Amino acid sequence: MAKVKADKKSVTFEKEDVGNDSDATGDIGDTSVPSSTNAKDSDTLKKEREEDLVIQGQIPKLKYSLLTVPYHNLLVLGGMFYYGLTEDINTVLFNGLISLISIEVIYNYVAYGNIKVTKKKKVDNTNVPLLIGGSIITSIILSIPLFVVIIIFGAPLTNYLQQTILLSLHLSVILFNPLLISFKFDLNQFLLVFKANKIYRLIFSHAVLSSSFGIIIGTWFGVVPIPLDWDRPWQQWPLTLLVGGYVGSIVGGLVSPLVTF
Amino acid sequence: MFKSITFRWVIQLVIIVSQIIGLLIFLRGFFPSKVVLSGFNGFYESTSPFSTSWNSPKANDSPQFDKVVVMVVDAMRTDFCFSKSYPHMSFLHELINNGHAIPFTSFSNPPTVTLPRLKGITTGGTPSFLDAILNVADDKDTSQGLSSQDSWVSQYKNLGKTINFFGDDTWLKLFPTTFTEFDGTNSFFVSDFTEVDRNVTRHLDKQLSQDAKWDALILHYLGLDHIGHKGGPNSVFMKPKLEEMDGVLKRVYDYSVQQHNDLNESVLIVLMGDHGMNDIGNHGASSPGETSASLSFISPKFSNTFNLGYTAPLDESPDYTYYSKINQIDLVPSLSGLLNFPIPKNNLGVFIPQLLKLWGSESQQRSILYENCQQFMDLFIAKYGTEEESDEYAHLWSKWHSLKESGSSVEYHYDVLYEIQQILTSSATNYDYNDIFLGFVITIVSSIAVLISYNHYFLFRNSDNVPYHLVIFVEAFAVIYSLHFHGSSLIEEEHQIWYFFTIVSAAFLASYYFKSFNKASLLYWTLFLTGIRILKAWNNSGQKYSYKVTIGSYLLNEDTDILWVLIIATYIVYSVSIFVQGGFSSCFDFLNERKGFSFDVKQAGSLISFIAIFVTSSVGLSFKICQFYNDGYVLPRYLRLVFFWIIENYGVSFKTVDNPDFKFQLQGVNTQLSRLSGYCILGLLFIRVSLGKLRKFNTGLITDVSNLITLYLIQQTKFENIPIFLVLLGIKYSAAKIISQTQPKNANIDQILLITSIFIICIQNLTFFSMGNTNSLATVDLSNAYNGILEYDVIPVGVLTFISNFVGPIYWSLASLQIIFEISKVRFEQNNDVQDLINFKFLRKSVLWVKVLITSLFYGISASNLIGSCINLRFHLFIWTVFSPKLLYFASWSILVNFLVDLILASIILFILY
Repeated sequence: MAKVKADKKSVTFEKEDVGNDSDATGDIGDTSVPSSTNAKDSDTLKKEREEDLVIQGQIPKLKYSLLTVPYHNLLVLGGMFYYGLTEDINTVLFNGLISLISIEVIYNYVAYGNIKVTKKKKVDNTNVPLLIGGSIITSIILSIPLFVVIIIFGAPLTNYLQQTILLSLHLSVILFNPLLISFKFDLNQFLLVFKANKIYRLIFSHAVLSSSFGIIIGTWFGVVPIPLDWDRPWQQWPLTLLVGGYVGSIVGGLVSPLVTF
Repeated sequence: MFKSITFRWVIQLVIIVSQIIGLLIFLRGFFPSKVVLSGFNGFYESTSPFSTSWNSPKANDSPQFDKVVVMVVDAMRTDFCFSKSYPHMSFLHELINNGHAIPFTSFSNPPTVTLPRLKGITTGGTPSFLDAILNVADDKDTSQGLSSQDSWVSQYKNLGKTINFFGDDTWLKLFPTTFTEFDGTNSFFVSDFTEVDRNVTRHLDKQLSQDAKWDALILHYLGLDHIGHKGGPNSVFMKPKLEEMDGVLKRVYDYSVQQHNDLNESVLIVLMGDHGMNDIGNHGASSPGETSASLSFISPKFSNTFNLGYTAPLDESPDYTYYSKINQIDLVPSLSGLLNFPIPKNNLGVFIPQLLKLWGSESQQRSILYENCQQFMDLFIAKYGTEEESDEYAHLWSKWHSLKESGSSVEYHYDVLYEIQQILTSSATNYDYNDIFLGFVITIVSSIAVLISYNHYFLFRNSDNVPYHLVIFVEAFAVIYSLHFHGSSLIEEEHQIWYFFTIVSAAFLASYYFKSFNKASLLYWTLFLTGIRILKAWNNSGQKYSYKVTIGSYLLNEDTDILWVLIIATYIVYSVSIFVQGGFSSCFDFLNERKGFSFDVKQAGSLISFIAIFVTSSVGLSFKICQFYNDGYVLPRYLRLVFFWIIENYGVSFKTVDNPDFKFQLQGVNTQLSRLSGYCILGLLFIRVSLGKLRKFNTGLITDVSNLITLYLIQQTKFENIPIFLVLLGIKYSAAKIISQTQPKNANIDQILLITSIFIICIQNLTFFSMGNTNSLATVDLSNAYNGILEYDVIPVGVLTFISNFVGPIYWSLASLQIIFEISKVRFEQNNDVQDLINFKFLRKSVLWVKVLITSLFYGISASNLIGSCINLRFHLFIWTVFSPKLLYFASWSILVNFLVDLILASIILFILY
């Protein structure tokens, strides 16, 4: 119920704030400087909340939060382990990637249908197959910068190169593809997220965003078992990160409806 | 009263001192000296059970062997002798196939370092952990001598025998007066593979001739170990070295055959390694490769007595076990038996079953083992008391009684022996629980005190607004970090933890402050993250993963041209930093009054300071060049002329590196150069400080001091690690930029201090591990511990060892002062120092107090957890191999880094030099 209310409010705000957009964001940047952590009076709190609602109104909304949760990721992950991921990492990861992409196409149709269309906007004339194909290809291309980030965050460079590349492909597809679909390639809309005052509240109120956030956190903390001396096959590089990312995507997606209700 | 800074300092000092005292008391209880029986053992019966003419009047005169040659090859792992992957010792293989040699895999008890191993091999005891440290910190310490302790060497000597020794001079430290003829070789030059061994072998001509008079000959070859340290087990030098050792064995064996034929004297040859080596050629810890030393008993006599049917070489065994596995200390009772003298008092070894067959009668075999049992029981009673006092071992006592009363079988004797051995070795040390718990309580109390003090200051004071999430983050950081002390593998892989924690802390910072960052900060973040990623790739650390090629190993082994370009670049960059970063050159401007604050090339001061800096860093660089050549590396072509010029200036004419005289002269040049460089740096420091005092010109003093000390730190760093300083400079610069961006408007000092302290703790540890250090004693680097030292002296060598291993932490400790007090200098901004904290003199004491408060919170929580973990896991399998070394490393961190450098050195710079 609360969500619906918020939506209504934001719709009303949307019109007035279009012109003030640049000013408003400039303000946000300044007031959120953390050195001014003085006890905020109720006025500023209210103001911040209103600004956040504006942003929330501007990013795409979902019809049913539970529908966008990438349940198929669990299937792909389980399937890869079923087909002997621990014995032959590279082959199974590659085959898993192919299956992931084909399932992801179907998922994209579901996800696209799940985007709430604002009535104020004109008739939606998106070329859906182009959007879906483009998002798959873009997320594959985006695996290159993701690879660089993974390396900078500490992945081995000389050894396990293939594994790391496959890891970044997998993560890139499950991370960027849903985002690209739900934001329809609108980068500015996406960047609005980072201008919110309560950014984590915003992220967790949006199933796709919180699923992506879950992937990042999950992958990050997937490194924890690596140094342990249990010597299990699943401790091999990069399986712990992969599992962390996949599980994180589902947990993140499921957390969002819990938080919003 | 609580607000007075003096009172706070007093409280803080009490806390820090009690932290240190608590840790030291705990260490005293945790590493006690072990129970050692003094005096020499005699036979338990009137006659020797070992004699070949048993129960006859001549009993004590007829041993199985008349002479013994103990040939110790340092780091001789089992597979070097027995495996098909090292087929180089063909003569030994032939002996095994003929049955003349009885091969064993001998378990060498960790710490697998030479001194404790030699003690084990001679006395039969298991080493106390302290032996390992004393091997590093080394001796001149009379308590290390074994002349008063029972060992097979002294037992044999007591029979009036002559023992000669050639090889590693550690033996001479253990037995200073025992050997008749001796020649010790020093393992001073680790890069010397041939000279150390030639120095031993050259004595063989005389020793193996007919007129040599010895009953025991001990040879200790070091070359193999040196090859391992430098090039690993697959080094190209391995094959010729093993063949050389095989040749020595053949000479000794031929001699024994000749003695047998000519004089009917039987000579026993023992070929053994004192420890093994791991995959990269180091040793000290407890991996299978390090603990599996080879051991062979060789004599022409053996083939006649029994045929064990061994063949050699065998297929490679992944856990380095070939033939039967025995304890290395089993050598001691076996030698007693074979040479016929009483078993040394502190022996924990069991007579080797295969050798027992030399004595034909089973009743004599039983009495030999009974002798061994009696010796064990003496030791047992000394440790646990008599039967009445040690009732928890009632089971053992009943076994012992049944053994004494009835003539039990050989197997039953072994059963009892192994059981006592198990009990005695598993508790080689008796913990002193009073000290342990006293130390623990003091540590806990001081940690609680520092926690209260920290929370009171940051959370409940209300006068200053520190973001509470930062305060909590620092506490959570310390707690989560210190939880890793409870897992042995996490301690081994601590470098991974620090990399992860550094990134997490950076991400935490970024997630809270990214709104105040501008476009340029993306650049700084990239620089920062790339910098620490390069750091991570520089060296291998930890036990689990080791990469064949790291940046460091590539530079050192594959491409010295680039290495030296980078080293020279490092020297140039830091020299330029001294010149432009702080206030060094401005100090020398006597002629013109300082206007503004920018260095001007036309001023005389610039010229003087430039010359001074240039000369100092050139001397340092020359030292490194000479050291590089002296360590046996090939200098790049473009540096050879420089090298020749340097040594010519010292009046040394160039000869080949094999020439011992030349090497000796080079060593002298090295010593002088390194001293000269140290004096130059000290001189510059002195001039800078005194000029500052005289002219009341202190701008940039901290930066100058830390840059000058960095020059010395570079000198104390391994060659392949020197370019790391370039990376460190980049990290320092970007970190300073990032930290100053976390508060664009009003500076909140407490906030800066929290961020800086946690950043410094992370990066100190990260740099420490990325320079190739681990939490194992095997990686303590001694290659720069003798710079400028002619004779061994424990204090300077100890200080230099500390500096050369803790280069990174010291560097960052100084950098933390820079970032806190002179952040504009770190950002290379000359004229922007108005806001620097150093200008607010009244703040200095309280700023340093807050910094010390934060670090002592971290060290306090860590110490409590580590001590708690060690108490909890004191019977754990890895307590001596993982936890104890970590304890020592932690003590160095807490006492030397946190107290001496972070507190004392910082106070000297801030309050005395300023």
